Amino acid sequence: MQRALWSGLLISVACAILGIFLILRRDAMIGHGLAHMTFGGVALGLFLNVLPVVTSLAVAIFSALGILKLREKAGVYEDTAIAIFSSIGMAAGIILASLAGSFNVHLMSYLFGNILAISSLELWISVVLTTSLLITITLFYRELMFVTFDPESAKASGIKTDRLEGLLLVLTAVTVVLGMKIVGLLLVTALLVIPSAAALQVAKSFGQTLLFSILVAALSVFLGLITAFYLDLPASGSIILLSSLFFLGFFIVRIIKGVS
Amino acid sequence: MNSKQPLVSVQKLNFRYGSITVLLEINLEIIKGDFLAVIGPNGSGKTTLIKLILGTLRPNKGRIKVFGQDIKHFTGWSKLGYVPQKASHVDPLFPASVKEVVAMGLLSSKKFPRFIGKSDEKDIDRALDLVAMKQFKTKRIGELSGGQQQRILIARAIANKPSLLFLDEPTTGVDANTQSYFYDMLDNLNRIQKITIILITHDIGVVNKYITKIACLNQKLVFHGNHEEFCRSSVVEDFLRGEQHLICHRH
Ligand SMILES: Nc1ncnc2c1ncn2[C@@H]1O[C@H](COP(=O)(O)OP(=O)(O)OP(=O)(O)O)[C@@H](O)[C@H]1O
Ligand SMILES: [Mg+2]
Repeated sequence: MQRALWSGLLISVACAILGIFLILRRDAMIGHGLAHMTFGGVALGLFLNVLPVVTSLAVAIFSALGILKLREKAGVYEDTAIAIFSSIGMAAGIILASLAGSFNVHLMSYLFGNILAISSLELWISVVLTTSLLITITLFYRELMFVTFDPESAKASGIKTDRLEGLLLVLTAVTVVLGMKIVGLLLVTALLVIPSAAALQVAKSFGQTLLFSILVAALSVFLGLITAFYLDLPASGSIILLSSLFFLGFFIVRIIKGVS
Repeated sequence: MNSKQPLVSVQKLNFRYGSITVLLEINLEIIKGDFLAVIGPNGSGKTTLIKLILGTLRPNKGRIKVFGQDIKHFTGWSKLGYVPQKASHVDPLFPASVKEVVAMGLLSSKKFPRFIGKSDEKDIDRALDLVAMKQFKTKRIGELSGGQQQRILIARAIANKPSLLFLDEPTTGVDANTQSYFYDMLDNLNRIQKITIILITHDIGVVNKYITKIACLNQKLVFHGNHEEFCRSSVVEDFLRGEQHLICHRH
């Protein structure tokens, strides 16, 4: 339970931060797409009998860079690129998983999450990856904000916008893989999008958005785990539904305050 | 860099979007101290030219040097300021505060990691003062009116005290009072602080009394010179359409 709590908090905070940039770049569905491809990665791991975290990380990062390349070459709409990639990931995953003979509880835990069954190795992997992610975001915070707000001017200020975009996608890929254990691949988009979307309802600055988003994410994980534990419910569902309640609350606050 | 060298030099520049030629054989030099107005009809390539000079677009042919350095390998970003065309592309839901937006203008003078701290506060305040927007510092950018947002983008461009300032129709949507206040300020920056200014505008009548040079663009650079030369040139009628009496008799 403690392991679950710590890894859940860490990963949800990473999601909460990245999600803001994705939403503002109109890229909210990228997490969803990457999650489907990660499913292929998990199945590959099961098939090759390696730790699925490792294969899925490789597949997710590879797909993130693939989407980036497809976007650069005009002629494929972004959402189409994501749809194509995610279908391939899912289809390959289904076949591999079936070949590996592992259509079982194990696979289910990747789709729907099983935070309570997280191993200490997985906890350490998530600690290391989340920490590096948080450090990276801190180091590039202002640049990421600038590029998200006004890419043209950012570029004209000597900021390497292409590299930052790549960085953001790779970080997202890493986060999706991390989030998989907590809420499962099917709900990892929610972890990326809902706390940030909630924060965006009321925040008056970028700094505030970050703060609110982190708070919503952390509280959702904390309360979600407690609820799941005492009511014997699936943790992933509880976490996401709670964060949706926060979103609803913040949304109502915004409507009442009558702001834009 | 030697002092006679132009701040910007554009040589034999060609640029196409796909198969459509936007700029053809442009040669242009901008000298320290210039206050250059770039004029031309919609779609004549003014914005494109600035983007090429700033390196956000790559030319199909030709060379661009800024402060003597090829723009492909340019490093002196902190000396440049840029106000892009139209604030109206500001996302009204973007959560940045005015202060955070102006702080973006300070990043080009910072080395990695580009943190903004207490010591940057006075630069932010000074820039906001110059556009008379200090009281909006903690507002969300999306809550401001279009003209106010434009002023914030101007503040962002001058926050760094650039020595070369590019402005792409900066006063679109800015009220008349603020406009003249703003151009007086630019005039000050240009004459007293010796900041070189490149201004894209459709209101040559408004900026007429401040500028030192005019460039007329229409795919090609059809004219580049000072005010007197412009009024004597054959392009004046095409570009001013009967307004030349107002503009050419300024003294
Ligand atoms: N992203 C783009 N893709 C394709 N063509 C473009 C693009 N941007 C501009 N153009 C074309 O390039 C030409 C020059 O555009 P540019 O924006 O430089 O004109 P401008 O002189 O700044 O006009 P305005 O006064 O309306 O701002 C136009 O014909 C325009 O249609
Ligand atoms: Mg333009």
